[in-house]
Amino acid sequence: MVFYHIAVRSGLPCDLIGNMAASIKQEMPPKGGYGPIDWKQRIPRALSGTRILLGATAFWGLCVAKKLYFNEIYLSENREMSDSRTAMWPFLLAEEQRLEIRRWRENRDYENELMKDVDGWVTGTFFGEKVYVDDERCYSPSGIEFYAHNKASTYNHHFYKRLQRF
Amino acid sequence: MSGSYTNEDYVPSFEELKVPELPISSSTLRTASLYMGKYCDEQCKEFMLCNEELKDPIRCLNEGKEVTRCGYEFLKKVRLNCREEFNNYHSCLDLHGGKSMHFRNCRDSQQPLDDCLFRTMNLERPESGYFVQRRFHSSTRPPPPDLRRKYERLPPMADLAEMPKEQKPYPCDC
Repeated sequence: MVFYHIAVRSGLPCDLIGNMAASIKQEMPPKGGYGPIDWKQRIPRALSGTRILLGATAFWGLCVAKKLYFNEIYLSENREMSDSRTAMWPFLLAEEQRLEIRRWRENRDYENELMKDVDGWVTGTFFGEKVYVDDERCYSPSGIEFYAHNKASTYNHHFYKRLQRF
Repeated sequence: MSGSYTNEDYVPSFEELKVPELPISSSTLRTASLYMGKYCDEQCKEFMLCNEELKDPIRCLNEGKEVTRCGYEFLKKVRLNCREEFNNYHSCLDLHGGKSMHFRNCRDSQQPLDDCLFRTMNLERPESGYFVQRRFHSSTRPPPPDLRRKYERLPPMADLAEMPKEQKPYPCDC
């Protein structure tokens, strides 16, 4: 009845609807009826202690084998990189120190030029008073002294790089 | 000599500081580092010993110049002899070495360079750990000065019996 209703409402021709109705078959239960309902409770069985122990031992053994085989390789590779860094260090240091000394010289020349009109001023000292007591040792100048004749932004760039983001 | 220099102190002029620097980038330096360090072993050790003993860049200037000259000489030699092999290894390290330019990915292009350097310059690639282990160096440098600060000893304390008696801090008792 419902089928007819839908078919007529859908606007199909009446001949077609009659043929379809003839070909429809009612669904029925299988012969002999359905089987019994399976209501029995099934709990999944836990792994036995032996199996867990065996699995864990196997995993641990694999890890140890990997470590034994690859550890020396990893270490030697990393040692090689460390070697490389150590080997290039004197070359970088020599260049860096030359730049640093150049700046010390520049600073002294700037100071001579800047303070030439001041009476009693001695370059590298505070009116003749030494900055450091010890004369034998080289104290590299502090940041403010090193960048004394620069813009403040240069000093900030060196010592407070994070400020550049804001 | 302290860090702030007077006009009497010796500070090298710009002409003295002007030397041909190594014209190489980071990846080239990484490629050349092990061979260059082996080639300039004596100079590097002398320079680092000077820095360790005197801790003064101006006094170790000549040693530093020697290090750079040796590196320059090595790079020139490599360019003459093993240019192609070096370039192959360098481009491999640059492309496949990752962020730190690791040696492990470039063993195939490393072998020709090793062979070439051994053939032409009799220079072996140092085995892993060569620069980490303790090495000896015989230097003609005089022993370093004692850089420890010299403190003056205080005069011995006066005898307690001879010291004046304790007085009240204030004359009035307030």
